[in-house]
Amino acid sequence: MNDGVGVVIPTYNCAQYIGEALDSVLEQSVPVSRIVIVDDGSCDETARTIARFKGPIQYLYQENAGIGAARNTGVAAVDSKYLAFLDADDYWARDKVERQLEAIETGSLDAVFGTVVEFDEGAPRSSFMPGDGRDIQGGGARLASSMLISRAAFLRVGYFRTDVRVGEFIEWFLRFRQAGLREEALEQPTVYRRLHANNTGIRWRSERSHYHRVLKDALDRRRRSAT
Amino acid sequence: MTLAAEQRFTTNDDEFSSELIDREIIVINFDTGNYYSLRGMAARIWQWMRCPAGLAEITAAIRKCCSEVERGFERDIEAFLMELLDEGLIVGVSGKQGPVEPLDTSRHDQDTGAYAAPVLEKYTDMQELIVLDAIQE
Repeated sequence: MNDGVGVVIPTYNCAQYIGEALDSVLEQSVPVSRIVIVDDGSCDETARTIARFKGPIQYLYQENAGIGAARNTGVAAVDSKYLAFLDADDYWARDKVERQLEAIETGSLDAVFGTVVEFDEGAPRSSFMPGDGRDIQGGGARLASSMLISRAAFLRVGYFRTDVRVGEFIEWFLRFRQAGLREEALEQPTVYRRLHANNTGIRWRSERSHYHRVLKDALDRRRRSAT
Repeated sequence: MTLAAEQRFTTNDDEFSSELIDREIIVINFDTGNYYSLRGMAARIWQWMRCPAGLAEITAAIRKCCSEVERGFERDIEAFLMELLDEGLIVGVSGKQGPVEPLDTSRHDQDTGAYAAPVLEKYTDMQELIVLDAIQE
């Protein structure tokens, strides 16, 4: 295992965006040790686009199995001390890894999140950050793309669930919380999230009942642990 | 405040999404990230409310389907409906309404047996994740 940061980028038909995502990882102020791109069955120009990039990049292709399965494939291929994730249609702030490494090591934390800036056609639309006055409890923006986590902590929580098409990160984060792990969120922007017609949450609108299943399972776990 | 006897309500499907899973209703507001659980009598009332129903119909249906009913249980039901209204989970049905039919007490996948007051369980611990994860068009 190396002491660096391994980055997992799951992608599905995001050839038009993945270059920007990769650039943002390769141009981090602190270099990452490995980038694993898991192509979840794309039928566009994704492979050819990625081939143009140089760096510690590993490209893995699998039959379409959903974003949770793709992230799991990437995690299994990374042996770094820390793990980070980036959805192929988003991109990171240039100092994301540097700031989060500093926070996780000085704060003896298991994971660090940060502000997410959502944008549409280049214009910042909204952001979620601690104490920004929004009526959102918990502060910070807990998304896979905004997280840096120790590999040991990730494995303690377990892999992403693969039987749901949406809500897989909510389900995973509920288990993170129930495991009593320590996390904080930075106020600085860490990830820029692109809003477009093919975002996962929209694409799988027909699978919205998976959110209900995820929350039901979490409530059941909570009730069992309370008895 | 009390509910008018003739007032009928239905679930607010424009703002909330609900699913019945293993005898529990999970209701989510994807705009706020709040979610709710309804079990037992609460789940049964929610299913009745999928079609417009009022306090009188619901209390009549409970008398019919529960083996034992506490005196004054109507107050529990009214308070529960008020809570659902306060949360915006149900909305009043306006306009001309058809004749009130008895609620269907036969199609239930559970037998509540003795009456137990309905409870609305509200959760706000995942607001940010739900709002962020379930991108709205």
